[in-house]
Amino acid sequence: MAEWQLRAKNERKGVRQDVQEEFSLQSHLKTFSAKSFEDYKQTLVRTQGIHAAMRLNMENTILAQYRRMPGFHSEFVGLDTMQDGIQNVGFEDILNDPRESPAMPISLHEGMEQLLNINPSVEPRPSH
Amino acid sequence: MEASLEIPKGGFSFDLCKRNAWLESQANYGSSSIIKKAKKTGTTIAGIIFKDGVVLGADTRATSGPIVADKNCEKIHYLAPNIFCCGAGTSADCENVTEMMASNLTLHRLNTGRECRVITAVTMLSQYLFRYQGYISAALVVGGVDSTGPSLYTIHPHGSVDQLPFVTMGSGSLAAMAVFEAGYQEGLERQPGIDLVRAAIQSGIDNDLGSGSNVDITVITPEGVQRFRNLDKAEPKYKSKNPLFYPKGTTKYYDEIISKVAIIEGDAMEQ
Repeated sequence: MAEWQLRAKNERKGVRQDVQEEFSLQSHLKTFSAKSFEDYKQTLVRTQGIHAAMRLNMENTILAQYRRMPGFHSEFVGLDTMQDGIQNVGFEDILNDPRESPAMPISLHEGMEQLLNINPSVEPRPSH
Repeated sequence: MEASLEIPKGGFSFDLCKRNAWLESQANYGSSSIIKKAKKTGTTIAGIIFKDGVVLGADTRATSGPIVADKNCEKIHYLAPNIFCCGAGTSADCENVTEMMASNLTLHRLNTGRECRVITAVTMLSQYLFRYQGYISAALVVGGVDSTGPSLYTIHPHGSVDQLPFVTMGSGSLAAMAVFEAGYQEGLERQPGIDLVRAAIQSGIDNDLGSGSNVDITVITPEGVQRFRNLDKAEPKYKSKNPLFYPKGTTKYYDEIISKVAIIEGDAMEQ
């Protein structure tokens, strides 16, 4: 094949695919922790009954909702204790701490607009 | 309905993966590769179980492509007072993963109040490496002595684990394994065990390009740990202390002028 044809074949296929395509490890890491939590809840359902899993879900939801406004760092001590994050050291603690990133954090106003879904300049998102 | 805002997390950042993949595809068009080669340890690491404990050995060369990046690096890392670990693969991955696991094991020891078992360290490491699907390129030999006796495990970068009485890893593993297969016996005494590991690492150094320099040995027994850093040194590269020494008469001259200088007392600036 001619060189220009090879180039066209390997060229990036447009902005949408750039943004949506994730590195395989990135998507794997996102689903891995969610999946292992799901497996743990299934074990609870089989051994202790569905109420144990429901209670775990409820406690996690309650602990996750107490946080500072967007742009500020939130501790999540309760959530970490429930999920064993408090007892383990991982690369999240050493590498790329978001408090030390060179980029500015999300501006408070924009973050709150996104949280409350009230951005006036954007088409309202379909919600059910 | 409230939308949820993602909590920013630390850890690995994948922002540059697309750019790297694109750069790599560009390399086919005759331009030289701009991508840096990670510093690997291209290595020989080995371990055996002898009568009372475990002997771990490693060479000390770290390579970055065809260049030797570190002539005397340490490949035997500390995990716990009774557990040590040799690492092959990307240097940064090995060092950071083992340091992180050492911290986790210390927390575990403080929580349980007991000495760590080797299988604990191995399980934590293999689960961690499996979660990253082999992208963290760290091949490890973990050895130690705990309440159940001496044990030795290998962990491959994708997370698989082997338990064996003698193990080798790295690019020089075949050369070292040949020495082990010929010379290993069960119930070796301490000094023959150390000599066997030294011979295996030396064989890796002699027969493999990626291994070289000196030999490090660590001996773990129920009584304690003994670390021999640079047990067998490679040949020193420079012999004389001052290599730029020129004897008198090296520079040839063909004229000589001797003039007397008078020293006058007083301030030279006044004149």
